[in-house]
Amino acid sequence: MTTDLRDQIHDLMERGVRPVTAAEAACRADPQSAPFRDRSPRRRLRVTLAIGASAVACAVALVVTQAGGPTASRQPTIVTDAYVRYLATASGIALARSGRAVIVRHTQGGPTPGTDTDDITFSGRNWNDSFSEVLTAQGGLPTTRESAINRVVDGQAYDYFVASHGLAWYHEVGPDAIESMAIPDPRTLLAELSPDARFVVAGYSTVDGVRLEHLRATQLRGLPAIQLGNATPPGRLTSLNVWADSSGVVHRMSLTTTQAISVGVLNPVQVQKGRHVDPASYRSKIAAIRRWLRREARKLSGKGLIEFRVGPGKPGVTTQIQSTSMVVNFLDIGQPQVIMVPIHAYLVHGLG
Amino acid sequence: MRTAGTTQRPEAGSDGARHDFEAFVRETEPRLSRALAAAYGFEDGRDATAEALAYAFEHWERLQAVDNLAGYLFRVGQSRNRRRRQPVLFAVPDCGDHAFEPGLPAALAGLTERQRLAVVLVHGYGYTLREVADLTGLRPTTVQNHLTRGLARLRLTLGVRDDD
Repeated sequence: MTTDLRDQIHDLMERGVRPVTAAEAACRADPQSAPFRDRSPRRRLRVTLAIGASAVACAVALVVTQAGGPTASRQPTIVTDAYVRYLATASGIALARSGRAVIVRHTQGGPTPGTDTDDITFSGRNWNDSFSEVLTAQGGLPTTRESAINRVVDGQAYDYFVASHGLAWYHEVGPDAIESMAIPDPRTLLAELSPDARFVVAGYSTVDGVRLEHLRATQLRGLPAIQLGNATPPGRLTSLNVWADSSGVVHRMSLTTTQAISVGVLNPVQVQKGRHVDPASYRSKIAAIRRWLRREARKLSGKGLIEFRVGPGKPGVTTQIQSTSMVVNFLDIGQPQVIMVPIHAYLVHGLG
Repeated sequence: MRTAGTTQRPEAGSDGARHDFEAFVRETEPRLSRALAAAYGFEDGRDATAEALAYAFEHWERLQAVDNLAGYLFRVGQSRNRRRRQPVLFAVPDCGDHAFEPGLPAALAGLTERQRLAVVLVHGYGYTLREVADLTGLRPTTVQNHLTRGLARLRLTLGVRDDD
C-alpha cells in the first residue's frame, strides 16, 4: 500500500473518475437546441438530424460532420489515467471478435534493413495473414522480395507460397503447424495503452471520414517494446503514438524501437573453398565457424538475436544498432470477416 | 502537479465551433470531472459533469463571453446536482492491490464538500490554491483553510501521522 496520503487520494480518484466525452455531452443536451450556427445549411441540417438521432448516431455525427485539421496551439494536457484505461477497454471490446489490421514495418541500420507488410484478418479463431517482405540490398547481397499467405481456418493451417508444387496452397498437418505460422495478433499492441505512458493530446486528423484524436506518449520507460511477429528482440521503445475515435476505439498506432543486434560474418572465400574441396569438411568447417561466432557473440551481449551473414573480411561478430518503425492501422473494426478454406490445397505433413 | 496546461478559449461563432467545443471538452473535462467527483462522489460527480458540458453544448455561442468558463460550468454542475441530495460515495472496484487505505473513501466522504474539493484537488492532484479558487469561486486563502482542516480531519480519521 502506498504510504503517501496524496498518492492514495490520487489513486482512489483515478480509479473512480470516468471521463465524459464531447459526444456524450452533445447527446445529453436538449435536442431542440441548435448550438452551432454554421454557414452551410446542408451541414446544419446534418447536425440537427444527428442531434435528434439515437445516442450512437449522435456520437458518430459529431465526428463525421466535422472537417479535420490542426487544433489551436496550446500546451499539451496529460490525459487522465481513467481515460487511458477507457481507451484500452473500449478498443479491446471493439476488437474482441473480428477485424482487420495492416502492419507496415520499416527496419534500418541492422543486418536486415527493409520493409515488410502484414495484412491480417481475424474472425474468432480464424486468421489470415497476407505478408510481403522486401530486404534492401546490403553487403553485396541483392534486394530480395518474398510474399506468402498464412491462414488458419477451423483449427487447420494453410499457406500459399512456393514449395514442391510451385506457387500453390499447402495444407499443413504437422503437430505445430499453426504455431509455426506465428501470425501476429495486432491486439497485443493494446498493452501499450497504459496510464504510465502519460499521453498528451497532440492533435486531430480525419482518416476515412472518421475524426481521430492523436495521443502521444511522453513517458516511455517501463512500456513494452512490442514487435509484432518480428523475430528481432524487443529492444527499447523510443516513440509511441495512438489515434482514437470519439468512442475511445483505437484506429491507428505507431511505435519506434531500437535494438542492439549481434551480427556474425562468415567469409565467403572460406565457404567457397570448403565447398569445392570436400562437402563433409565444408559442413564441419561452417559448423565450427558458427560455434566460434556464437561464443564471440555471447561475449558481446548475453542476450539478443545473432544474425549470420556471408560477407567480405574476416569472420567476426559486431553489434549493430537497428531502428524499427511500425505503423498499425485497425480496419473493419468489429465487422464480420469471411476466412475460407482454400478450394484446393496440397496436403503436406511435417513441415509445421 | 499531474495535469499541465491552461485552457485556451475557442473561437466564437466560427464554422469550426463544433471542433472548438470538442477541443474545449478535451481540455477542461479532466479538471471539471475531478472537481465535481470530489464534491459529489464518482457517480453523481460524473452526472454533474455531463450536465454541465451538455449545458455548454446548448449555449456554446453565448458562453464565449464568459471569462472563466471552467468555473462557470463547475457552478452549473453544482446547481444541477443540488436538485437531488444524495450521500457522497467513492465506491471503486476492489482490485486486490491495496493501493489505498480501505477507510479512505469513507473518510473522504466524511469531509465537508469544500474540504473534499481542497484536499482532492490540491493534495491529490497537485493543483495550486489559485487554480482551485478559480474553479470553485472561492478565495485562495479560503481554499487553504479548507485544505488544512480537511487534511487534519482526514489524518485523524485514518490514523495517519502528519509527516507527508
